Amino acid sequence: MSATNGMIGQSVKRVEDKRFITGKGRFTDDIVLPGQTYAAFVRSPYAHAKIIRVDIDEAMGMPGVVQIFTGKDVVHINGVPVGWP
Amino acid sequence: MEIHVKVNGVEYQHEVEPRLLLVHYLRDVLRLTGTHIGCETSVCGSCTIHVDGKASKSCNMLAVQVDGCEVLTIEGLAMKDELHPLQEAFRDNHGLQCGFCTAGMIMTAADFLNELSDLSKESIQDALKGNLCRCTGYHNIVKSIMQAAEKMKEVPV
Repeated sequence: MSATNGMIGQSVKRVEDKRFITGKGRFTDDIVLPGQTYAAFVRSPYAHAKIIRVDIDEAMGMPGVVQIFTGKDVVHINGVPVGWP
Repeated sequence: MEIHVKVNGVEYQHEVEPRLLLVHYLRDVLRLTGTHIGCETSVCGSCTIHVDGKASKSCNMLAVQVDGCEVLTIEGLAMKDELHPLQEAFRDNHGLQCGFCTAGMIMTAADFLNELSDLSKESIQDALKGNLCRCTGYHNIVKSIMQAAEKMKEVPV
């Protein structure tokens, strides 16, 4: 009993709740770091289509754009878990 | 445009773009990140705050609309170091898991507890229809609000 401080069978208050109920939680969107950049995802406007090519030139030239990644940049990563083979 | 607004008892004066959403003003300008952005379409309620005492969805208001108003966010709900009965009750009843919807749930409830005459489970469920939770389900949230309502009957806030 002493080793568990009598906690067995008791309802225990979570240590993290105080910050959530007072608005002091820290979620990803709450974080601001010096020089932080933001990602925007561009998805296909077509439900069923074949990608012939992705032209990033115009987007790359827009102000504030740091980098653009397309499927070509991650083609070497195997086994990304998805629901379909 | 220039706005004057009192947030959690503090007076602010800022030059803001007319298109700036209230929730972005609170989060990005005032750095009050306890108010969350879930859907940005007024469906989920995680951005709920009080404007002149009324629960309002801050993702569907412009910052310029609160010029001259008093705003209360989750950060301002607890009086000094003492938790609001709703905050206490959510902790007591495991009324939250990830905590993302919690601020909105509490701010919505803090408004309707003052107005609802019927504090049955059904009427609380109905009053919460504009707030979505994706972890715990609503059972413990309703339980928390009922406990807080009982406590506030004894000691009004």
